[in-house]
Amino acid sequence: MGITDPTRPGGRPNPLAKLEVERTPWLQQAEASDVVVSSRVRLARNLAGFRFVNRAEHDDRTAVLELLRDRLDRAELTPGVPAQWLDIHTLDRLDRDLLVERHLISPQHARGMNSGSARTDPRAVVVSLPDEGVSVMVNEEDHLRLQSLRPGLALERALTDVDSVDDGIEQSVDYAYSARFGYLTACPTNVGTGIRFSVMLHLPALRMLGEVEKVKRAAGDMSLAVRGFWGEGSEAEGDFYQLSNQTTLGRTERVMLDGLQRTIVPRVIDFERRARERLLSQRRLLLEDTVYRSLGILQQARRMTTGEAMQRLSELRLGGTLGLIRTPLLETVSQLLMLIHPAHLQRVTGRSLAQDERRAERASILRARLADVSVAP
Amino acid sequence: MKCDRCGREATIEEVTKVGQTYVYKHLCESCAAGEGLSTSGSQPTTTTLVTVKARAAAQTLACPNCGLSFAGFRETGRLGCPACYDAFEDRLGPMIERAQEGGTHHVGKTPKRLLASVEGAGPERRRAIERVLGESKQRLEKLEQLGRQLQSALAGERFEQAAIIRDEMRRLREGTCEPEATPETGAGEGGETRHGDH
Repeated sequence: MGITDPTRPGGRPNPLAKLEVERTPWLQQAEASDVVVSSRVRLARNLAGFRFVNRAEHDDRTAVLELLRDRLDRAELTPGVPAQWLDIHTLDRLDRDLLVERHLISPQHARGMNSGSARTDPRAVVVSLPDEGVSVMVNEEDHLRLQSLRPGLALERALTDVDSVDDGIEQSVDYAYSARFGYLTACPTNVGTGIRFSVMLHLPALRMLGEVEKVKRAAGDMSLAVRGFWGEGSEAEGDFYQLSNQTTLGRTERVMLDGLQRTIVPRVIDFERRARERLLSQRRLLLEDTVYRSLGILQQARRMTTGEAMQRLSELRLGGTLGLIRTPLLETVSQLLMLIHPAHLQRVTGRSLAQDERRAERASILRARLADVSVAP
Repeated sequence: MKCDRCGREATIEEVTKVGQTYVYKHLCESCAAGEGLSTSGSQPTTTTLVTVKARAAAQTLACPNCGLSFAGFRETGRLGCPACYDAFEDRLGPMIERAQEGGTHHVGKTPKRLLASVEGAGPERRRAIERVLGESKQRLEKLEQLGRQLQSALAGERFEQAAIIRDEMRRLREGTCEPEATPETGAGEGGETRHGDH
């Protein structure tokens, strides 16, 4: 069914056959995943001797793409896991959307440089499949955007992963680099280390108690950005927030990492956990009403938008972490956070769906997958 | 034209009429701001006129490699090629410093192959180190930047960070590419070796 089929209707090969549509590796349960959904580290790199993507002619972009295809086809992004090269400009729209939903490529990469150039801009992503732990976008804003995305609190692991892939690539290409500015990037806000650390946090209790602003202020004081589920330019959806560094020059990667994982991240985790305890001990009726109301809607609704589904699942997830739900369901709920998105829905059902049909299908999948969930005695 | 005060590229020319003679002053944008000169057009006419001319000259500044003008960069926020960083360095430096909240020089990971490709000792190795870590003046500036961070880490009792910063400072002083080049690095500092693991 759907994405794991080796072929598509008409006998065309399925380029994403190895991607498990039903299971998103970075949404699995892991360290501190009651609050930290996932950890991500990305590096921006460019090749010496070539113009940056935005100023390169079509032929130059093709040259960079082919050079990197040659190098990256041989690289193992994750030891023992063969990487798969995917030419974005040859994928159909649904596959591109699927990769965006999966956080393997950015929305800009799916669209192409200029609107309407989705089918012409030579660009790619290389992904270790099926683990999806490491991926490399080619010809996005920079020639290379290396990413490691891991479940739970795992910044250290993600840095190690992405670092070793970076070293592997650098063995056969010359990076654009200067002693003063470090790794040179198209946008000067990424120059230096080219690194961005981010953690995706689930903060439903702080939102219910109206204390998310405090987190945002504290983050701002430490030069950290707070973004939504989809990263840059997105609003918080379903109480999911991404916390990431804004500056890339003047401090070493390890100092930045240490600052995040020893100070701000543990504090936010602690803050959210205390808020959950406070809801349990002081606002139990409000908490139960919120969680059980969402459970009721998820188990009975006939139509649902993505936004509402994210919010209901967020509240159910909160109930799951606090023992208000009998069935162990954190893994199921986390995986549903991905499955309810349009491209995933359509790949799971195996057909293209109009918006109205998607809402009905979304509600139907949620009912089916959450049918056995019951409230704790 | 160089700035009268700091030697960077001057982008503003101030002309003052003193008696029958004109006194010229050439400044970069940050020194001009330091002297209370704004370029928003509130000065006497002569200054404003010449200032506008100087700014126009700055607007025609372009990268010799890819042809991107500085004005073009201001419009999109994207540079055109690696050489743009050299071409616009004087104007870009202060902008980057603001955007990077005081960060002026790169510290941290460096491309290993740049150094590793040079096996020999002596001047060749020194040149390679300069390409990666910077000439001695730049390395001093990096050390100063790190020194401030070290003090702040110590004041905040962030000892793990302090150890990482010390390693980085040692690396700059010794011109080594690998922060964890010696196995005793971690033991000597009482830190954990994984923190030097680039």
